[in-house]
Amino acid sequence: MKRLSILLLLLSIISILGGPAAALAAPYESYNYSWYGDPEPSPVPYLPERQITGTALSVGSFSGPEDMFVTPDGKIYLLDSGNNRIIRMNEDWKVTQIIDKFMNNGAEDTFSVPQGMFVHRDGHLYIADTGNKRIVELEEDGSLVRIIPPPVSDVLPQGFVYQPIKLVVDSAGRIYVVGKGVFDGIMSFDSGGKFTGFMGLNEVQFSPIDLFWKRLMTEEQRSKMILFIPTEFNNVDIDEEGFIFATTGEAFSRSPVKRLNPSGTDVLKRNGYQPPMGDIRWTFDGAMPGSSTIVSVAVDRNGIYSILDNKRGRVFTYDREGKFMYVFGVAGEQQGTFKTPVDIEILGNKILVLDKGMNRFTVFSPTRYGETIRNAVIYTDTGEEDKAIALWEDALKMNNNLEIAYLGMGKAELRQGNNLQAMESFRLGMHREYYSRAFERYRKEFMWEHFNKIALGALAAAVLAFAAAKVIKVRREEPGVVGMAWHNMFHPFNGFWELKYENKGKMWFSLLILLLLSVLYVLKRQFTGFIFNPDAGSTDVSLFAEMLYIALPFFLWCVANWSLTTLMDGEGKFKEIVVATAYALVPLVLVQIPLILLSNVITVQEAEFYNLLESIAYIWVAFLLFVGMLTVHQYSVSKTIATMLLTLVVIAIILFLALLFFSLAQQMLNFGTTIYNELLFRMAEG
Amino acid sequence: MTTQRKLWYALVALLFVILSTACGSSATSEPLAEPANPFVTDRPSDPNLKAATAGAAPQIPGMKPMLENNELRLYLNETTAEVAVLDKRTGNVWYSNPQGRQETSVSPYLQGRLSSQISMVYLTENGQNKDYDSYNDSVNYQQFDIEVTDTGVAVTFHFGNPERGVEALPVKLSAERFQELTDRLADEADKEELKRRYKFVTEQNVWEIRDIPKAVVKRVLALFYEKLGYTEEDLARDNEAAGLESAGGNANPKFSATIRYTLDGEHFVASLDASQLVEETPPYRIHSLKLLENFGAAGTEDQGYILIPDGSGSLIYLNNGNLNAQPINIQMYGSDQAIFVKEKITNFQPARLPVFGMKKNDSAFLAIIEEGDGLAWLNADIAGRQVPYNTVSANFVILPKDEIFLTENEITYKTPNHSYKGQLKIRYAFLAGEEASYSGMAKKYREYLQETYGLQKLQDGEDTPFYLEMTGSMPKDKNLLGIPYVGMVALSEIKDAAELTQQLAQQSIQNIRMSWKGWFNGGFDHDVPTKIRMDRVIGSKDDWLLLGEQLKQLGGAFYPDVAFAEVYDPSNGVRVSRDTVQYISRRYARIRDFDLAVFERRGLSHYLLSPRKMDWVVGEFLPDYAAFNPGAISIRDLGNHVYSDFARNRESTREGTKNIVMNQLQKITEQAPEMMVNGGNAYALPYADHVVNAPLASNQFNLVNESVPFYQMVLHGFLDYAGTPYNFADEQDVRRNVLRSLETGSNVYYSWITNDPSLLKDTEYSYLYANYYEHWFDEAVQAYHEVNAVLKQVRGQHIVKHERLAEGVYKTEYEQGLQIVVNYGEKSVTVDGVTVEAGGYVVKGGAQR
Repeated sequence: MKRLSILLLLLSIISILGGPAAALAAPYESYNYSWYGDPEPSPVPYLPERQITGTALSVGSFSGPEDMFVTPDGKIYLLDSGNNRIIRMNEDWKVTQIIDKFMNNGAEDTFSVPQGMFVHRDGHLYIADTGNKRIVELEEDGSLVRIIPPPVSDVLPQGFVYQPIKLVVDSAGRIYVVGKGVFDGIMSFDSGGKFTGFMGLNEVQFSPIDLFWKRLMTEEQRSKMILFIPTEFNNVDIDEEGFIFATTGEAFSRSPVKRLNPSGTDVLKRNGYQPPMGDIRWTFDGAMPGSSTIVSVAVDRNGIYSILDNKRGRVFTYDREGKFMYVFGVAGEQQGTFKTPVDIEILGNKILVLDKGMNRFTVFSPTRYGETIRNAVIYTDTGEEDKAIALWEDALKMNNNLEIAYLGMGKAELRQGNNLQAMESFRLGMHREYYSRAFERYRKEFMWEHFNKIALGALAAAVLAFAAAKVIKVRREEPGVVGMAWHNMFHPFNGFWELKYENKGKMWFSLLILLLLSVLYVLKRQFTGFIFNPDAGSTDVSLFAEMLYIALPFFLWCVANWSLTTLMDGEGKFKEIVVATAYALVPLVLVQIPLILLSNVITVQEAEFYNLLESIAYIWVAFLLFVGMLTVHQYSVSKTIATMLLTLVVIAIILFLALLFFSLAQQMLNFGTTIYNELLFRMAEG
Repeated sequence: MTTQRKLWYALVALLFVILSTACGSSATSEPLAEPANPFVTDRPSDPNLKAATAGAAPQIPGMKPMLENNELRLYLNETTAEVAVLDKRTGNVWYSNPQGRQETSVSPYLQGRLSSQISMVYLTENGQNKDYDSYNDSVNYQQFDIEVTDTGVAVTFHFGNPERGVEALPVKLSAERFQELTDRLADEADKEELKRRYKFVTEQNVWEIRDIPKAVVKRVLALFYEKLGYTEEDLARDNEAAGLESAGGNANPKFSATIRYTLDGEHFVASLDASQLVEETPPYRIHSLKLLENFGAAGTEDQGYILIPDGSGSLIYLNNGNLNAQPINIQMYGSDQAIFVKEKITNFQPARLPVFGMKKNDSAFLAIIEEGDGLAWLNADIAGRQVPYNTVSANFVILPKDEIFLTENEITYKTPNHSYKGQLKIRYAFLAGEEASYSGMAKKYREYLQETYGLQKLQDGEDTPFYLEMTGSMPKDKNLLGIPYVGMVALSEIKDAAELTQQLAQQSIQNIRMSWKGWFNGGFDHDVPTKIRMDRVIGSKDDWLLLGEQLKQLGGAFYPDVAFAEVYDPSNGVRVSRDTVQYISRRYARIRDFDLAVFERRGLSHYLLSPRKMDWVVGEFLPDYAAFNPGAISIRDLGNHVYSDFARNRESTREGTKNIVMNQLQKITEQAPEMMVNGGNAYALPYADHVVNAPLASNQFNLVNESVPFYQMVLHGFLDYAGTPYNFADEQDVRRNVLRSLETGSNVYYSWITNDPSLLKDTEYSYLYANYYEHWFDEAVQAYHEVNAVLKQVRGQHIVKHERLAEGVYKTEYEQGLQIVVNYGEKSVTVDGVTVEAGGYVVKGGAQR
C-alpha cells in the first residue's frame, strides 16, 4: 500500500503532462455579437484540454517558439525558434523527431531563429530561416532538398532587407513568403525558387481630412509627415482550393484577414452583421485598449476559419460567409489563458494555440455547444438540410440568443420550402435580405392560395369607392378646418391666401398636426415591416421623444424663418409662419399610414416603391412650404427661394450658438462639480 | 446696513456654521465596536497544557522546550525568536523558519526575511508601501522580549532602527540658524563638513540637506549631537520652522507587535492581537501583517505539494520549476467590492475555505485561519525565484488602502481611519505517513469544523437532492402607443412549477429542492426586503404556500431566494447616502456589470448594504417573511462574498462584516431552519443545509499543477451541495457533468423557466440563454437517476481519499469503502485490474451502475 502511494506520488510528480483532460470550467467568458453590436453572454465553445511545454515532452523547455503546423494526417510540428529546432509529435503528444541541423554541401548547417514553417502535402518541410535570410526545404526525415536564397529582382526597392517570417506552398509548389517590414505585399516564388513578384497589396487607408491637409502642405512638410504606406502582412495560411488567407496587425482595420485569389485580389466574403475583424468594440483606456491585433489565421474545413487576437488573447471563428460563429480565450495568468499568443492551428475538431511568452501551447477541445455549431455550419455548407436544422435547434436550446442559428435554420427551411417558418427564423436572426426572399416566396404562395378572396375583395373595394365618390360629391359647402387642410394640399395658392388673410388657419389645428405626426412616427417605428425596420417592436420608442424630434426642428425652422424674414421685409407674422408650415406638413401626415401598410407587403427589391411614395410626399411638402412662404411673406419667387435657403443658414447659426452655449455650460458644470467634490473630500477628512 | 448686505452676511455665516459643524463632527469619530465571531470566542482551553520539562528528549540544538501537552511540544530559540513544534506522536519537527538557510547564497536581507516570524508592510505619508520584518528590523537590533507563561509564549518585537539615522538631521535650516550653528563649531574641518552636507538655496534663503552617503551619516550625526549639543527638541523646532511636520522620506518609523504561541490539543496556535499593535511614529501605519510566513518552508530537495483553497482547491508541486508563472496571491472569500475596480478581465472562483497546507516528503501540515480570515490573502510560491524555498502563508490586511482620483491625473492613496483591532489567529495541525496528503488535510479540517461549528452528519441511504432553481418574475420594458413603461413579466408561474414538480415526481424524483428567484418586490433584482410585496404575475399567495406544502410532502423543500447585501434599488427605507457602502474615497459604491468584450464598466448592478445596517434590514424582513415562509430560505449573497465599508461613522472591516453576517444568518435560520446558501463560504457552513454554486474546480493558475476537490472533500457527509447548474456549466454536455458529480459527490442542479424564452429578448437578462425546461427535462431525469443511484449510498459519509490515478482519471473513496473511478479522458484506462471507458466511470464496493 505504501509502495503504491509512493509510486503514485512519483507518477503524479513526474507526469506533469499538462494537466487533467479538458477542464470543466473555462478561465474566460464567451459572448456573441448581436445584430446591434452588443456582446451577449453565450456558452463557451472550447475548453482548454491540456498544455504542452518542452519540459513535459522531455525535450527541454521551448524558447520563444514562433510557429506550428498540423498536417492533414495528424502530425504536429512545433518550430522552437529560440532553440533553432523543429519538434514533431504525433496525436498522442509523443515526440517522434527533432530536427536541429541538416547537411548542406557536406557541412553541418543549422537554422537561425526561424520564424515560420510549412509542410507540403508531399511531406516536405519548408522553413523560413529568418536569421539566415533564406528558405530551407527538407525531406520529412530532415535531409536537405534545397535552399532558396534571397530574391533578386529589379522590382525590389533600394535597401531591401529580406527577412522571411511566414510562408505557405501551394499544390503546384509555388512558395508565398511574408517578409518582415515588406509593404508591397506577399512575395511569391515559383516552384524553382525564383522570385516572381508581389501579390496582395494592401490598400492604404487614410481619412479625407488627411488628404486635404496633405494637399495644402509643402514638399518639405510632407516629407516630415508619417508616410501613408500600406501595412505589412504578418501571417499566412492556405486552404484546400489554393486561396491564401493573410492577416495584418494593423490597428482599427476593417479587414485584418484577407482571402487572396491567385491574382492577389481579396475575395473573402464579409456577409455577417459585422466584418471579420475580431472585436468590434473597444476602449481607449484600460489594460488592453484598442482594436484586435490579428496575428494568425487557421483554416478549418468547409470554409470555416479562425483568427487569433494577440492583444486580448482571443480566438474568433467565422464561417464561409464571414458570419461570426463564436469566440473564446483571454490573456491572463491561468492555464488556458495566454501571455503572448502567436499562432493557431486546427487539429481535427480541436484548436491549438501557441504561446510564445509562456513557451507552451494549449490544446482546446470543443464543448457540446462549440461542436454543435461547428457541425451545423458544416452541414449547412454541404447542403444536408435536415441534419443542419436538427443541430441548429440543438444550438438554440443551449443558447437562445444565437442569431446565427436562426439564420442557419432559416436557410435550411427556405431550401425545404417552409417559407413562413423561414420568415420567422430570419426575423429572429435579424437578416433583412433573407427575410425578404422568404417573404417573397411566401407572398406568392399566399396569393396563389387566396387569389379568389383577394380578387373579390379588391373588386368590392373598388365598387364601394366608386359609389362613395358619387354620393359624397354632393356636399359642396364651406369646408371645415380639416377640409381646409385637405383643400390646401391641392390648391396651395388659394389655400395659403385664405389662411393668411381670411384667418382660415387655426393654431390649435397646427399643433394637432404636429401631435398627429409624432403619433404616426411612433406607429411607424413600431409597425413598419421588418424589411424596412429591423428594429420593429422595439420597446424604447417613446412618444415624448418623437414629439421632441418633430417639434424641435419645426419650431427651429419657424424661429429662424421669422428672424430672417423680419430683416428682409417679410410680411408674415410668427403665428402665420407656424400655421403655414404646419399645413404644409399635411401630405407627410397622410402618407404615413399607407407607408406602414405598404412596408408590410413588399420585398427588398420592391423597396423603390416605398421610397418613391415617401419621396413624393417630401417633394409635395417642400412645394407646399415654398408656396406657403411665398404667400405669407408676399415675396417673389426668387426671393422666396433665397429666404428659404438662408433660413437653413440661420438654423445652422442657431445650432452653433446652442452648441457653444451648451459646451460652456458643461465646462462650468464640470468646474463646479470638481470644486464640490474637492470640498466634500476635504471636509470629509475633517 | 442694507437688506442686501444683511442677506449676504447671513449667507456667509450660514456657510461658516455648516462647514465648522461638518469638520467638528468628523474630528472625533470613535472606532465602532468590532463584532465578534460567535463560534470562536468561547473555546475551552486545553487542560493538558503545561510548561515543558527542561532537557526533555529530543533535544533541538539552539532551542529550549517551553510548553507541552499530550500531543505536541513547543521549542523556542531565545536568540533568534524561532520556534519549533515537535509532534510527539510521530517525532516530526516543524520549524517556523527553514533550517539550513545560512548555507544558502541569498543576500543578507533575504536571509533576514527567511529568519523572521512576523513581516509587515507599512504605509508612508503618501501611501507608499515599505517593508519591515521581525528579523532585519527587530531581532537584528536585539529589540525583542520574550514572555513565557504556563499557557503560552509571547514574543514582542520592536521594529525600527534604534539608532539615529538620517531622519535625525534637520532637513532645512534658515540662513541665520545655519550661521549660528556653524559659528558654534570650533574646528575648521567641522565647519567645512557642515557646509558640504548642506546646500544653499538662494530663492528661499535656506540651507537644505543633501543626500548623505550611508558611511558618512554617523559622522554628521556625531557632529550635530555631540559637538553641537543638538537635541531632539532642537530637531523638532528646526523642522517645524522649516514647515515640515516630519522628516519626510528619511524617517525611521517604529512599531511594536506581539506574537503569541500556544498549544491546544493537537493544534499549534499562533496569534496576534491587532489591538495591541503600537504605531509609535504617526503618520506611518501598518498596512498588512504576515504571521509565520516561513513556517514549514520546503527546500529544493523536498518532495510534495502545497495546497491552496483556490476555488475547489489546487496543488502546487514543490520545486516545479515553473518560474514563468506568477506567485500565488489570492484573497480569502473573493475580492472586496468596496475597493474600486475600473475593469474586470476574468472572473475568478473565490477561495471559500480559510485553510492552506503543505505536504513535505512523509509529513504534512494544515493551517486553519481561525480569526482574521476575512482579512487574509494567501501567498504561495515555489523555490528558485528569490530564495530556494517553497512557502505558503497568510497575509492579513488590517488597514486597506485604495487609489483616489481627485481629477483625471491626480492620484492619492487613502486609508480608512481605523485599522482592524481584533485577533489574528492561525491553527496548525500536523499529519504524517498515510495521512500526509490532501485527503488527510481534509479530514483534519472536517474534525475542526465538527468541533468548532458542531456540524453533523447526514443520513445514509436517503435519496440525494435534485436541485432546481426557478426564475419567476422579471421587469420588462413595455410600450403602449409610444409611452414606455416597465411591467412585470413572469418567466415561470407557480402553477406551472407545481405541475413540473408533479412531472418530476412521476419520474421518481421526490427529494426536490426548489429555490425561487424573483417572487417579490419587482423581480429578482428586488427592492430592499424590509417590506415584502409578492409579484402577482407569478401567482397568488395561496398557490405559493401550496407549492411549499407539495414539495415538503414529496420529501423536498421550497427555498424562496432573497438577497440582503445587494441593494438593487434604494427603496423601502434604505437610502444610498445613509445605508450603503462607500469606497475609501467616500463615493457611494456603485457595483457595475462589466462588458464581456471590452472589460469596462457598464450599467449599475447594485449597491451594497452597509454591514452596520444589516441587523435592521434582517429585523424588518423576518416578520414580513413569516406570511410566505415555507420553513426554508435561499440566501443569495451573504455566503458568497465579504466586503468592507469605508463610510465615515460606520466603518467595517471584512472581518467585522463576516462576523455580522454570521450573526444575521443565525437570526434568519431561527425563523427558516432550512437554509440554502449560494457560494458557500466557510463562515456560512454552520447555518447552511445546502450549498449551491459551490466551486467544482480551481482557477488553474499557471503556477498550479493540479486541481483537487478539496472543498467537496471537506463538506461531503455534512451537507448536500451542488456546483453550477448543468445547463449553465461551461460544458453543457450532461455526461461530463454527471462524471463531475460522481467524482466530487455533488448533486444534480438545473436552472429552469417554464414560460417561453422569447420573453427574455431585449432585456438585461439575456444571460438566461439556456433555461427553458422542456429542452432539458429528459436529460435531467436521466442524470439524476444515474447520480442518485451511486451517491445515495454515501450521502452521510465523508470522502476519506481522493487521488489522481492517471491523466484524467480520478478515484474517490468514501468512509465505508465505496470507490468511484471516473475517466474524463478520450481513451479507456485500466487501473487496479478494472477498465474504465473513456467518459465513463466504475463503482466498486457498492451497487454497480
